[in-house]
Amino acid sequence: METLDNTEWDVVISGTGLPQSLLALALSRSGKKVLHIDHNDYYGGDEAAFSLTEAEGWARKHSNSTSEQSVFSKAAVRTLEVNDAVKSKLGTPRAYSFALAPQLIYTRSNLLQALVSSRTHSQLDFQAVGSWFAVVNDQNDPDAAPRLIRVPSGREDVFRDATLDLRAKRSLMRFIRFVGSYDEDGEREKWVQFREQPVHSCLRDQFSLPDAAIEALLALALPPYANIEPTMATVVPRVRQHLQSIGVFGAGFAAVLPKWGGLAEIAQVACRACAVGGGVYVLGKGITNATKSEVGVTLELSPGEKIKTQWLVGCSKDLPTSGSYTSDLKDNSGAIAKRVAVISSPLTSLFPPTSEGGPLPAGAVVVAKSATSPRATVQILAHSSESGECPTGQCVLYATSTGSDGLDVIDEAISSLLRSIGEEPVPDILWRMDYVQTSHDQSDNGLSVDGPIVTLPSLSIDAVYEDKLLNSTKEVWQMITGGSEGAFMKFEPREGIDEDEADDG
Amino acid sequence: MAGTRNYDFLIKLLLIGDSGVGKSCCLLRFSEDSFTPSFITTIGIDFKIRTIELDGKRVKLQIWDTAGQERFRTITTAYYRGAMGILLVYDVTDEKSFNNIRTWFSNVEQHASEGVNKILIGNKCDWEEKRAVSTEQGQQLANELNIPFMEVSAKSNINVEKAFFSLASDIKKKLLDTQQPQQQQQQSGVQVGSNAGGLGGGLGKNCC
Repeated sequence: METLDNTEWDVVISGTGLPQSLLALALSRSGKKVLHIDHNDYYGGDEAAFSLTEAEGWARKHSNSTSEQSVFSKAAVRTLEVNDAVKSKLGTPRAYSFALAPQLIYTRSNLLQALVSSRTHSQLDFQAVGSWFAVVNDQNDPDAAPRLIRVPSGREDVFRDATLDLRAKRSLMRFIRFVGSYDEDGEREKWVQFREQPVHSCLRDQFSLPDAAIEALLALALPPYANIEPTMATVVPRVRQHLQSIGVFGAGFAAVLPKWGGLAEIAQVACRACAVGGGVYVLGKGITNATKSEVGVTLELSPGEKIKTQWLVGCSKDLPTSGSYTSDLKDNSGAIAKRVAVISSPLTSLFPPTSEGGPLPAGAVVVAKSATSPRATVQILAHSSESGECPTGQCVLYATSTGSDGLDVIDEAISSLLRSIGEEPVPDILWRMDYVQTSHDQSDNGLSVDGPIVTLPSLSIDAVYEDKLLNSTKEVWQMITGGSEGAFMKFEPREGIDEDEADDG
Repeated sequence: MAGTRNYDFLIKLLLIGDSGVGKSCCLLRFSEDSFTPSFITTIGIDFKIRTIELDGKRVKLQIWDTAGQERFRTITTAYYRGAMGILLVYDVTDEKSFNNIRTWFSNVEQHASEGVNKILIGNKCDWEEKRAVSTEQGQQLANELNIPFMEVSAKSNINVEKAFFSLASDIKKKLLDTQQPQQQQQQSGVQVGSNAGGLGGGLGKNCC
């Protein structure tokens, strides 16, 4: 293999997670000499996607909870006690593509705009995230099967909803109007008064919403730390994002997911775009040392190569110099328990068409409350086999919960969901992987610039892709290229590609 | 959602093989009938398009280049998505590139969809005095991998056309045989690049 020893670069990007890969894409037409490396031997970093075998290898590597360099811990693949007939349903390892980052992307997200204006969207397949559901346990009869209730997710849904009475509908419409105008002059005073209030009491007292409607709104908002009572300031903008996103790319859905393994696919397509622009890609190569000099940084790579660069950019754990990796957050405060589960049924009732002639959804959101500890909420992203993540006849559930008993609560929630579907026999879990992910810079999501060394914020680990990520990409891109804001991610078609193809490929 | 598409079939092809074997040269020869001797790694080529006619059908070939990611063996799995045909290219004057074909073949087996059509291509066959891999060796490997084989020269324009046509023709036949009506977009697909985004979402826009 060729060596990188003594090479010089304009920009070295460390890590191929989504934040770094989007920067690579942004720099792909800049004329800068870019070296993009990753200490892992796969693309995607914390946002990677894995086949079944790769996932098992990854879990072994992250089973230990003391790794300083990783946000992942306690990973384990569980073999379930199912009979052989069920076990044999598990497909070939390559038939699976599990996403470490299955985040849904709202249709109005600036990420989608950037992918379109940078002409990379034609290399990606997006699918609709259709319905939102809540799993409801019968308060009076713990033995009764839990019910699956579709959450009304827009005005039309509210009108049609049979579970809400007229008064509740009127209150809900009033709240939806407020959501649309809370930052305008007429409502500002009210907003200042409400914004720090806890959601439940504010919606109950100020908007006369019944509990069912409040839970529905919370399901739509998918607040990041589900076990902490969120404030209006967290929930209202999220509900707005949801409502404003309905119908942008077709009737009846508000969000999309990238096919083949979530954000990993976007990271890879972004990396390829940078390679097309001349960027050099090396995997399985990390930075062991970085020394600042007058003209940039001298880097030592494993194994023993020395290179020079004007800029070094990466997320904190990919950079050796930022000793400030916040290991103190390794307690439970920022830890989220996650489970990936392969289900023996396509769970078709989770993916109903959301409109006539519209795309068939490949994604759904389910929010389940624990029957035993009512504060604990589990958010589940369900992906059908259309997502390319599992064989037909199955589906993949990505469940998350916060708190120390996260996995127990997830266990209960998935079991409730599977019973609530109403299928006989109750579908089985064919395979599952558990892990804990720590949000290592939740306190400060900004950039940190230390001369030529730039630390990018990591992707937030909640269920929704957050637009602020691309803002920091833009900032770094401007710092490096001096480009004007309006030119960010706006690329002409490559020579020799006809417009038609570039636009609808 | 192309209302009036100007082709009957759209086929995605990939080029794979070591650096410097002439993948981009084959691509440019086929798509633009041009040749530039250059030792610089390919920059700026994502994919090229050429529409050909096969048995009265218009077949649009979308041919993707590796973008230099073969150099350190860092080709993305996303590159392989939806590929229907793969040209495994080596340089007949470079034995190492020939020996590496097995590695590339197993990469293809690992990442491309099952049953993807493949063809083994020995480039630079005009350069007899430098030849390090005989035609027989090439043919033998092709037999072993159970794929068709052709020696070509992008420089002298030998067999390049024939190689692409042969691969495209095999794929077209398979598409007809399996009777798979080619769908423009999968049923579940969402067009994020469509103009709908500019029109503003119905409900949200009204209320917010």
